[in-house]
Amino acid sequence: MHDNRWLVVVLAGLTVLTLVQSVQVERSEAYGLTHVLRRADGHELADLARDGSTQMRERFAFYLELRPDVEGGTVVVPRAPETLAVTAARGLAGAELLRVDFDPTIGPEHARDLRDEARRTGVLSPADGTIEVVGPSGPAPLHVVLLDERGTAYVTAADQLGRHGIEPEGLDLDALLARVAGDG
Amino acid sequence: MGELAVLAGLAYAGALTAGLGGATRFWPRLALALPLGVAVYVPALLVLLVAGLPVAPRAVLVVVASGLTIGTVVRGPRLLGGALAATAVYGVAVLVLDRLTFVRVTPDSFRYLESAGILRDFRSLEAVTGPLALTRQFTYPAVQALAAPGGYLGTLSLLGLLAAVGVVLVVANETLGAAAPHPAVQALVLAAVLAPNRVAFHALYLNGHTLFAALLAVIGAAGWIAWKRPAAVGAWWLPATLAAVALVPLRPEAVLVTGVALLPLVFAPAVPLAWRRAPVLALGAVTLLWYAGGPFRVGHLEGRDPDLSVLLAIALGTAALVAALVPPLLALAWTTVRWVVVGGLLATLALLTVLRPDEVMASLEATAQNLTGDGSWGWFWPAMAVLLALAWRSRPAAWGILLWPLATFPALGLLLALLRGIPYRVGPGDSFSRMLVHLVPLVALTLIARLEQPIAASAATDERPPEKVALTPRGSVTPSARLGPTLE
Repeated sequence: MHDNRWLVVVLAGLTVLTLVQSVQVERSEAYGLTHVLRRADGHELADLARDGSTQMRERFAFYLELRPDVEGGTVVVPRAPETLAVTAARGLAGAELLRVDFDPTIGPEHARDLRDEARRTGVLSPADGTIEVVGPSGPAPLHVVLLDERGTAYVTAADQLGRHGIEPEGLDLDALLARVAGDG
Repeated sequence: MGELAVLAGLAYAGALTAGLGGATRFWPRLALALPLGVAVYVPALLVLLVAGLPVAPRAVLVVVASGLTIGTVVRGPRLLGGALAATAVYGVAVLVLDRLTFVRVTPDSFRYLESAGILRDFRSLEAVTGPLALTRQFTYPAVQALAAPGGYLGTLSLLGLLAAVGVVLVVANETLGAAAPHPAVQALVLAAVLAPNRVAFHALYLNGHTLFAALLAVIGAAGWIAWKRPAAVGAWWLPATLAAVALVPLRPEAVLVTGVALLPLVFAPAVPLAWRRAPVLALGAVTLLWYAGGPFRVGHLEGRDPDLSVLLAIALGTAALVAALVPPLLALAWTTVRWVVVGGLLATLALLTVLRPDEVMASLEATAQNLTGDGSWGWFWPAMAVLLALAWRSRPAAWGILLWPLATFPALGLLLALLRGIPYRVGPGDSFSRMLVHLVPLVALTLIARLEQPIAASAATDERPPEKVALTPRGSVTPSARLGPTLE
């Protein structure tokens, strides 16, 4: 025979205590950079990023989906090894690549690598002609501006930033966020 | 509308699978619908992508559901009705939850969605970078890849938690029967385990944790049934096998956790060998398929050296295949197996502690802080550990089986930190702190099982010889197939 009454009583007490602690956590700032996104408004994330702390803006800015009525976005890719360029190419697959500016330290050979790899893997056909290398863009990092037919920016390359521990220096977050929010 | 169609489609496929697997009643099929829907869709997509076929995720789901429909019609058309009813329930749930829910996002969420977008749009594993594949794995991105372009399945986490709760309630009540605790007591247990702030967080968090919890609950429940009521395991070995298939590519630690959680089912002496061998085979096959065809291959294409965790996973997958194909290994006594596993875990930890004491101490200190407040769990886990320890005395038969995945988790968790080479950290976002939510449904099942009413409580202990069942040609078990005494 089991006498489970003690267990039920203890569970009831534990439930109450846990709920109290749970509410306390909710009221605290324990979530840090975690935020609530109201699903009914897909643009609230942009608002959060714009109004939030600098650290949060930097962390979230790279993941924002651009609104369809915005013509482009900027993803900053650090001075990249070839693999990163290939990664970017993969991320661009199927997208209408508007323009790629290469850092002069990377050089045109990497542009060819990017194009060739993209074509080799079939993500862009040789006839597309959608990769336009516009030449060195000064000392700034490589900028990849891309937009697919749905107006969604691909941000594959952004993942590389955190992976390499590279801060998004040189990116005008306010300008980007303003564009995302439709203000710019 | 897209989210409704996708999640209802997954539930439909899962309910059909549960029916084909022997769950003929409505409630088990409803509870298993989402976990098994994921568990049949994910490996199908994985096989095709590893084979280099550029398939659209939604098309794969349609084909899988169609195939299951045909199989169900052939097997017994009446099973279709239950599947459609379960699908309708999920549809209504999505409609309601979609209006109410918020989602919580972290940078990890976006990386998962990024991986999902690549799978959806480029239909290729090669398009996912090696590190992204290794850290974000496959299952969760594959499910999110079913969302509309640029979108996400916002109700998936909450539905995953609800499915896990459903699995707990169905298994507890069907296994305990008249000895199941009063519904009010079961509700109290659920309130207790759902009360921590972290549970509510994960229910709305764009991440795969609640899906992991639901799938792990299926495996843990099957292991318990195999000892508590082996005659009923015919309807659970297949769900457990499929759950293992979906779990392995869900998170980096899943190979180890799944392998350990499966052991009570695999070494249940009363369960036919075929049913015990299946999950081991599946575990080995999917581990090799994913790690060799995913992170290893992609990393090789990118010119990266293979990660240690990838090589270890491939070794474990190979070992699982060998174990499945060498019958004497599966004939080992459970008592032997559990002590070998516990001893092996402790010995490995001891060795690593000697070699890397600073990492071990850093992880232990951070975890201690997280378990006493900083992890946003409050004091839930220390209190629960004490409670379960006190509950050990006068435990019902086979109760210790439910404690197995819970008791081994701390050692597994510490081992995982050492294998990845990064100590745990203080804060609710810490991996160990987040992984704890995987255990919540099993804790609920363990408590409900401990509250088994005296009406059917036997004086048996875990060591009492369980009933034996025999495999029939259709894979089901009938009362006449019982070969030994029952525990009821």
